[in-house]
Amino acid sequence: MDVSQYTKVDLDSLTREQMQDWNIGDTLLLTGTLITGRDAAHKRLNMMIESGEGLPKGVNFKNKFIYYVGPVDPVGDEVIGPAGPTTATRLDKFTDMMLENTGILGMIGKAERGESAIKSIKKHKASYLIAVGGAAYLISKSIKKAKIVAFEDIGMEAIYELEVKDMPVTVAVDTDGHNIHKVFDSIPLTESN
Amino acid sequence: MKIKQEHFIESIYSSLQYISYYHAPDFIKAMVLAYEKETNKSAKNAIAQILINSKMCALGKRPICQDTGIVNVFIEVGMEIQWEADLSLEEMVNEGVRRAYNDPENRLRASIVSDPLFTRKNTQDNTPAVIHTKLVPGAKLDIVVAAKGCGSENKAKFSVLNPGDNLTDWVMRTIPTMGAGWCPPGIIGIGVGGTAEKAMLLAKSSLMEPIDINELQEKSQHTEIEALRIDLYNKINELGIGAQGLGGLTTVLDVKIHDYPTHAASQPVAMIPNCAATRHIHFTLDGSGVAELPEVDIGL
Repeated sequence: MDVSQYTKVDLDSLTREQMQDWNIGDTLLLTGTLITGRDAAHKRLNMMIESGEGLPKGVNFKNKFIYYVGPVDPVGDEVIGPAGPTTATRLDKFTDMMLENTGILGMIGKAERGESAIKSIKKHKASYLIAVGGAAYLISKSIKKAKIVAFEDIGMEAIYELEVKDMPVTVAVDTDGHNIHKVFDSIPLTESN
Repeated sequence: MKIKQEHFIESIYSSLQYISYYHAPDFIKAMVLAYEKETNKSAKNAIAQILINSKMCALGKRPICQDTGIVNVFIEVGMEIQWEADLSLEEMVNEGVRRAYNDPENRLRASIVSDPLFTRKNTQDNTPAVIHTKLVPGAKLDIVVAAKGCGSENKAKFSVLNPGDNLTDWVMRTIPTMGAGWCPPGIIGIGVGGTAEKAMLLAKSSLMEPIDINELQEKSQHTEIEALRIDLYNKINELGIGAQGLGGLTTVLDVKIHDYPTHAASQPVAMIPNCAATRHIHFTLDGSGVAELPEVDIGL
């Protein structure tokens, strides 16, 4: 891992304008606040938004990235256990809802995004970043603080607020909708993916 | 000698803890080869992170992946075995799983939900395991314990081909539809024959074998199945999917095939990928004590 090739990014002052300078394949080291969420949390958020109840109290998505992760619980003096990305493709169906309603700047996960998610990312001038699936313990070492802010009852699927320092990611879909997983472009991905 | 309940449970527990933080040497060797060969910058970086992560986990005794898996156990039960146990075989496995996933020294993630159609409630201790047993001659237990990540399990494929259809065509058509969520580079397990459920089981059991495609390629003569494995290995890697789907030379580290006789009208085919967190271990119990697990060479 050659960290000299990485660009440092301050998540807490990041703007959509700055994100427009990112290109697919750029490697970034993220520092600042992330909000987590995966399948069950997205399903619940969707229900709350649709019913008019609104977002859960204590969760501030505005100008934040959402990290698709279900971490392992900490042991000893750990802040959090291994916490690598889960497959973003499964969350494609919630992407437009999240970008439309929560004010997030983008998301962090692993694997390719589908056509509709990429279209929505482009429309909202958002970005999709990838961390390495299977590098969970390494990634967890860049997490300096972790607290559950909503949905504690769903265990590892709860929404956490994380403070990260130099978390390594790669730009996979940029604000113009360019996509790093070009290898799948000519291939009809099944919806269930 | 009798197999004692506590030895059995302890062995399931310790093997699950072991595979949560130690990659097998065959996987490390194959990944190092893939790293050395790789020319795509992003893919090479991803493989490097996986290898660094692996070493950190071995030293820190913490899980390789946050998805610590759904427990799969294959047990061959010798028909002469006598038990000193009051729990059923399934209950003993699940007690081992419970201890392993809630071990305060190295807690693993509880990922299993009951009532999958409706409430999807987490069972809190990663039980129940998925258990396959077979009765065989002899007086010992042969056990394979695996913790299968669901990024890869979700990409399992099944079809029933016509008897004259070509397996390679189906595999080459199907692999790209699995995307990158299965965390390549990994291993592809293929099951051919039997019935629908038998083909799936063959595919899964094939993933329990060590990576040996490089040794296989060096052999001068191959069986038909071995030649097919090598051919699929090369063809899949030529697709250029690469590590994490970023493009690159290595998508698969090995291709495994198990087969079984089937009906003249049928050719059931199943394919299950295994991710970078390939976690399985094989041990035997003969009543003399708990499982002895291999020593680890941290220098690898």
